[in-house]
Amino acid sequence: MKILAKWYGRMSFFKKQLLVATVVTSITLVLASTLLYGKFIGDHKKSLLDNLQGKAELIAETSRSALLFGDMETATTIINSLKAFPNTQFGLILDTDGAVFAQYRRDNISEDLNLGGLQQGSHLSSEQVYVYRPIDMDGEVIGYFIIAADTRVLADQRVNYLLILLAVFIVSIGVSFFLHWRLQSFIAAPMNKLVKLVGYVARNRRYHKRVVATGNDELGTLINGVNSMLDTIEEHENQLHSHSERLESLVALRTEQLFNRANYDALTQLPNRHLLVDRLNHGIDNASRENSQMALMFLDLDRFKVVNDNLGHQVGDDLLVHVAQKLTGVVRKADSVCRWGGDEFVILLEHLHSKEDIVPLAEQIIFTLSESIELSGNQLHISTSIGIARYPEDGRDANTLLKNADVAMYQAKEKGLSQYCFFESDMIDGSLERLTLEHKLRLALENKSFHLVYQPQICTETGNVCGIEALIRWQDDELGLLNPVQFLPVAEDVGLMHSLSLWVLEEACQQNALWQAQGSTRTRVAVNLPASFIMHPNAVGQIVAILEKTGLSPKCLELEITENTFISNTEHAIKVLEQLRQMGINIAVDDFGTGYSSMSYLRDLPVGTLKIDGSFVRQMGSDSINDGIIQSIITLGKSLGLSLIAECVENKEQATQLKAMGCDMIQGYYFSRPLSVDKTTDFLLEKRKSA
Amino acid sequence: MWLMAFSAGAFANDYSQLSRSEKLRAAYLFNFTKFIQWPASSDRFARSSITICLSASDAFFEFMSELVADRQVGHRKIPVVVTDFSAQARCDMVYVQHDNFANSADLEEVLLVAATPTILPDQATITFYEDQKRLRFEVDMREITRLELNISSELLKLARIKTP
Repeated sequence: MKILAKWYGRMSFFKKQLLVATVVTSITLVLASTLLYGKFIGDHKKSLLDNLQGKAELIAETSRSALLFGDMETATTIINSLKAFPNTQFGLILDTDGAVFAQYRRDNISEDLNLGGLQQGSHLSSEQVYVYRPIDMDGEVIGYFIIAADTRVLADQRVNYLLILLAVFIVSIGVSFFLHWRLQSFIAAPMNKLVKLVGYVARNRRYHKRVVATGNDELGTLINGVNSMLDTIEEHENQLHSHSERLESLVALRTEQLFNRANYDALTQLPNRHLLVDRLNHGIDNASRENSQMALMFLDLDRFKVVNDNLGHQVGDDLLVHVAQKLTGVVRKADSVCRWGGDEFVILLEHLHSKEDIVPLAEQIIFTLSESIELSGNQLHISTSIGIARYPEDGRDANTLLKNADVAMYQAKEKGLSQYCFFESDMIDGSLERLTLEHKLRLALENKSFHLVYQPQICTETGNVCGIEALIRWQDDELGLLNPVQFLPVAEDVGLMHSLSLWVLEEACQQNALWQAQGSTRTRVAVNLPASFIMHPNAVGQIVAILEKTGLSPKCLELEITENTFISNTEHAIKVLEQLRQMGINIAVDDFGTGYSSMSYLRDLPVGTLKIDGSFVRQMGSDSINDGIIQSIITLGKSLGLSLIAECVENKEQATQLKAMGCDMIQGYYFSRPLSVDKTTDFLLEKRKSA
Repeated sequence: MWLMAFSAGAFANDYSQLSRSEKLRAAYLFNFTKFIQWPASSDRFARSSITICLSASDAFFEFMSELVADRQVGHRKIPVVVTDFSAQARCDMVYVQHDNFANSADLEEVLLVAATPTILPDQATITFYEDQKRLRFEVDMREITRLELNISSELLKLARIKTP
């Protein structure tokens, strides 16, 4: 049974169909044959009986007279006609008493016929058929007739019928099978096509093929349904494919972008630090293998921060892009220009023969970058400091070369603007000094190791103290007294300037409040603030907080800011300064005349004082143009209703001339050097006494 | 055969004086009426009975009478009547038992059955005879034809046909 089931399971659908059809046909034929056989045999039996009855009737009729007249001979003659029928076993004419009047017996029939078991009528059994009927004349029974035949013919007929039916069965099955098999192909053809299509789709996952439906029957509906399904799948597939392609493109694009972002500077499109290091390592390997030289140039743009802070980040960015383009245009194609970060660039030079190969390039770079640049309506002049480290002399690995080039760059900076410097081993110390300074600066801020000194501002008219400028000083145990010029740039570089400015502001306000509490002349304390402080989002809030904390009146505070504060983000600067001025704080423009400012802003600026830069004051009397500038500044300030103060006044002549020019206040060594707190206290008290 | 009833006491009277042969003749006579049809053109067609006139002994007559009593022949179930022969009698069949039958002229238009071949040999339509102790009968077809009788083949096949 399992084998059969397995075999059936392995058959194709059409073979199964054929098998089923054949089985059904067979069953139908068997049923029909059985019925027909039964009918045939039934009919034959009836026929046999009818035949026998017919014979009986005939003989009974014809033997009536012989029976009536007792003519046995005639009766016997008549009954012997049964001899013509081989299957007749016997025939008997009986009289009314049941005695045999005449008879016929087939040769092989015994004489003892055993008539006792016979009954009137027609009877058929498996071995014998007989008819037992009365012979009557005019309604009166005159005798009986019995005729019996064997059923051999019936048996023969049964076999014949069976053979015929078997033959019909076999032929029918054969014809049915053949026709079904042949006709099936018409039905199977579209189904086969459908099966092939489905197989193709499953194997190849391609959905473009279709099968044509040839009819409107269930198969046609199925084919149409499959076609429709494939249409949908193909459409989705195409959509998916398109989507996938788009995604792939997007991924490729993003990958490229990510690669670029990971390896290239977004602003200048130059290789970034990461790619530089990679190329540097590669260059070192090549140089090592080829036994050739290579060099690393570390470039830093001088005064870039000034431009960035004063002209704005957009101008700063444009400047960097411009510099990048210039550098790329200067170097050889084999060389790599990379943006290290901020305003620093690194140039990788390979396949060098000697140190002398580098010098012309360094000079070319310096020259190119020193050319005037116009950006956003501003004429900019920048310069660069270049530090150069060579492989293998100055280092055999990337980190060492970079570090040493950086050190050399700082050294170049110290030499001045637009300088280049080859690394020398003793430069390491200088670099270390700077690092030490940075570290100490942080510690000093944490520990509040700074202190303020104060330089008075004297009214030219009255000779009274009309203000005090607070100046920061730093006394380090190791480094000694440090000048602001030494550590303020470092503070700016390392981002400590804002914190430092806050400390100075609070310290100065607190001190001034204390002086006033001690009874000193009520005067303003001037504090220098960098442009970055003004640009801080919470500048006003922080200043207000300090005033509140120290209890100093805003009118007793002056903020000195340089010209360049107004150059970038003028609107914001004006807004902040206006808020401060509204509070009563005086705004003084420091180092007036030296910045990049446009004069038109002065009309709208909320400033109260202009401080003439010391460089002009120092050259008074020796240069008429210089004096003219000073006069112009004073006149300008006056015309705008501003007060003027000159700084770095060192002698009487300068003071006198400035007074004559109309300058309102003077500050400098002529009157007082910057004093400590105690000395300033004494100074103020003395001035008050004499006032 | 119902002839055996003769000896079984089927008759009310004792007809021992009649021979078996005579009884057979009586039975035959009765049976003849079953196989013969008289012409339809005569008034006998609408007959309501078949009359057998006997010119025979009384015993034969009684025997015959009892034999045919309550019997009917034909599909019309016509009763058979037995009567003595007389010139006035309307007879369908006349049986003559003796040679000395006097009125032979009256027998010309009727079926005549002679008991023996010697009785009315030229006139008898049917003549009994014995053959090897078996009673037979001879039929004169000319007479049959002349009398326009219709005699069944079933009877004829048992008979000897008289040749001219």
